[in-house]
Amino acid sequence: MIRLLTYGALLLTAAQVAACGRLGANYTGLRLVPPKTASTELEPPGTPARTVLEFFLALQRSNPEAAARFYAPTAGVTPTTIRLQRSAAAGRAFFSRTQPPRVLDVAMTDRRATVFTALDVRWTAPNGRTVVWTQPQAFELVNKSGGWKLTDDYFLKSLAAVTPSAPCSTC
Amino acid sequence: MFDVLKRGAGIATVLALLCAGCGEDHRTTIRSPSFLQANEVTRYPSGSALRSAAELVRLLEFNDATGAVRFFTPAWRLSAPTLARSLSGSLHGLVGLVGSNFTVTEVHHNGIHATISARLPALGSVVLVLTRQQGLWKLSRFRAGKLDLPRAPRRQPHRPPRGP
Repeated sequence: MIRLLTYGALLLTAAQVAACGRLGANYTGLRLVPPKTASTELEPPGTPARTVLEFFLALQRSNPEAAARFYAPTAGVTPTTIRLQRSAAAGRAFFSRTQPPRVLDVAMTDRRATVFTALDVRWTAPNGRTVVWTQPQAFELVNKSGGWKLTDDYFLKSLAAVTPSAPCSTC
Repeated sequence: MFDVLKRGAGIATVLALLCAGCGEDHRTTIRSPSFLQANEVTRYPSGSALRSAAELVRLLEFNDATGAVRFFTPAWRLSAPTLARSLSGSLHGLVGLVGSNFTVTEVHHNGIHATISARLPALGSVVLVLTRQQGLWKLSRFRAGKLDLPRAPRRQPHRPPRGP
């Protein structure tokens, strides 16, 4: 009887050890949380922050024509340049991992605005722990004929630098 | 009987230890370059040299070349595209280290010049000289150890004019 109990307990322990690394999840290590679609309604229409979210949404939807309309003419950005940046390896990696911008604050002076945002990449571990990589990113806008327009395309040019790889799951 | 209890206690201990390491974890670990929050900039009076220095640091941290380049004097001969390339390259890791650990140790004003001594985690003690130009405090000089920027332009060697 005692022997039976001992073996039973050992069997239970072995089953626990086998299940411990997974905790019910069907994966190990860190898993990327797919990016959500940008919620433009979070910011009032006609504001610089709304413009940034609408611009990001156009990029998420791989719509270079729509994205190009958010640039000031002086930026010299065309749908073709956006298409090239968006479809490059860095662009594809960025938009497949990065959540829409979280607007932190907006600094406005006369006809210029700087939208300070945080770009998050999220991973989850099998035990429910979340790992977030946050990259600060600001967008410069200018008010042109009643609408806010982006002044430069340095954000798209720097995608390779701002896209993190998956962090080490054990460190 | 005592032997049975002892064995049972041993198994229970092993099980307890295993269960302790298997709990769910709903914490969120944030890994990111640290950066200045808006209130860490607005705590300095508007129009002050310290405010400009903090704004410049924050713009660099937020990868904003167009915004940051306004805070450099013409002596730097710095354009927004050049700064943007540096922020994506050599400066990318460095500005992330500055973060909110921008500790000002001394501020000295002399007319249109202001000298700010600060400690930055990545560079140690640094000196920022700001000059008031066009209603804005702009960075005119940056010193950190042997680093002294902007470097003086190289003088072209004098060549006598060629004869006919």
